[in-house]
Amino acid sequence: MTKLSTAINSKLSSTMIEKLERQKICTVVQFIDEDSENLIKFTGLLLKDILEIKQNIFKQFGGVIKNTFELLEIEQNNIVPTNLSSLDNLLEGGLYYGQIYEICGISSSGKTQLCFAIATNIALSANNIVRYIDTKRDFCGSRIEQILLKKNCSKQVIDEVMDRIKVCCVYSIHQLFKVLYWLIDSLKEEDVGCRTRIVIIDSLPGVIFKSSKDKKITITLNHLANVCHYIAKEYYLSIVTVNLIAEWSSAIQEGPCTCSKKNCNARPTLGKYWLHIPNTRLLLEKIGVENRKLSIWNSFQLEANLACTLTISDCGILFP
Amino acid sequence: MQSQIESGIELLARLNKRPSLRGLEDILFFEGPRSTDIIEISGEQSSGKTLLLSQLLAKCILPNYREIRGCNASAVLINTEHHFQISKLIRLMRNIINAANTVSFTTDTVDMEFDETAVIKNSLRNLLVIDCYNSEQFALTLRMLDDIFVKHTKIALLAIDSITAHYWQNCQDNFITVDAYVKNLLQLVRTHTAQFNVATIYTKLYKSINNKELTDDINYRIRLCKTCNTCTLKTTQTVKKIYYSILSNGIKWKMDEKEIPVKEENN
Repeated sequence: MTKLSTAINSKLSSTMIEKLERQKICTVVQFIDEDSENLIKFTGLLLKDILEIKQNIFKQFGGVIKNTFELLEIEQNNIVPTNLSSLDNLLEGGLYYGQIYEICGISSSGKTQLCFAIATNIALSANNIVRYIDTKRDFCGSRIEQILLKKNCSKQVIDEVMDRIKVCCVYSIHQLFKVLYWLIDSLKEEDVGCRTRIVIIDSLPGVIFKSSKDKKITITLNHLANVCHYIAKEYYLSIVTVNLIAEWSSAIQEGPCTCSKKNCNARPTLGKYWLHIPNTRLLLEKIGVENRKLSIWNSFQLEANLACTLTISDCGILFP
Repeated sequence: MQSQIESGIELLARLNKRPSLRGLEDILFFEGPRSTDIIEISGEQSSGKTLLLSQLLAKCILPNYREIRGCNASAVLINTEHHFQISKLIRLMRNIINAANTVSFTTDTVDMEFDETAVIKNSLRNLLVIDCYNSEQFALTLRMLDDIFVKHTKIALLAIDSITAHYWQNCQDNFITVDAYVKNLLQLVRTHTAQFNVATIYTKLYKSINNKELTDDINYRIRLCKTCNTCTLKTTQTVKKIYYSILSNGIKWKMDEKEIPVKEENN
């Protein structure tokens, strides 16, 4: 909760704030809730000034009113194609701004490889910066280079692409928050011509361990969701998170079976609270050694259960 | 926020100017909702809460033009969950317009198609969105509503998706139950909407522990259950069960509804 400060309005002096604190009016919400007549008494200001301060509080800390007519244009101008054609079809054109996409799968199902492919393809465009937050210390520059070499990119192009993928390693949830807050500051400085279009967090279970109904972790995840939504919405970019799957039943060992059957038993990790946070959740499943099935697990925007197949080889991700 | 002096006639004019929400969704609201109703949509994740809310918003902001039968009203959405998406809203609006077109007997389809995009774009001007990223911003936004309603006299509906999004952040300082948290917020909402004749729809992720406690404040309780595909609608008079399914173009109701008197439900 934000405390009252002189920064809100020059008329609100520190002695007035002290007086208000004695009346148990410490935060901006408490100031708004207090009757203006009382505030006049406590501060000695005029009604006009009190109302002005209240308006200032709304402007600085309240929500910003936007018109959907204008937001529509912003949405249409900020779809970033991954240039993985089947994935783009699945996502109806690419990644939309303001959205959190989550890639789920068991370990070695190819989640990180898919992230590499998305990061590389987006960074191939000179206008795009990719932010890659690595919690598992397994970001592999040579892998990116390999993918680009297979695309017949020149040395110079490879260097430029690598330069546009900004990697950052974090080892704890506190560091993740630190990086995200630092990111907000650097996003403000960015040039419109070449700016961050996507933030990849690979992976969340790497820094958050959640098995019980621990309230503290739920509060942390709530905070994380708020920060991610803020970055994605206000800086017109999308966020891709990677998550694991828990509670697989015996069905998986019996080999490939229908997706819907398996889904009943599978759940993303990070607990119940996180379930509804990502806007679109993708499920990556192994079919044989090289083939993978990528499907929409749940989404508000997209129809669930649509799927495509892909293969992972040294060329990166291929969609046959 | 400002204290205003106005005559009784001016006051009446201001109160009566807001468009009516009648016909917003005939299957759910009988001759309603009325101008100060509070409507709750609850359900598990991906049970279709935001979808239903968006569908109601689409109907609310569309014009009452030919067979579209929208409410031609403005609405304000407080977006705390960030699942609402404009492209989806447009798809829902398009669906309503198309359904209306098949009903009407117009032959000049070219003309209608040209109109469709214009109608949608114009209707979007009726919808304001306020994104909130933390509980303080949400709290302040609710307190800003008076100013917003005074400024935009066409607003007849307040939508909150969802009311519980910042519940956990609130728990950090002092723990209260979800029910008590929602009740406090609704009281606040009520003080800001009632005098302006604005109806409220909000979504809620969590199940109420005590179902009876809130009935006085809430006029319609809609509970969506995805596994059984039923929508349970409770008002003070009746309890209705309606089957529904989620299609790419929105929620479809299946009409073989059962109406159960309220007494049987309270066993």
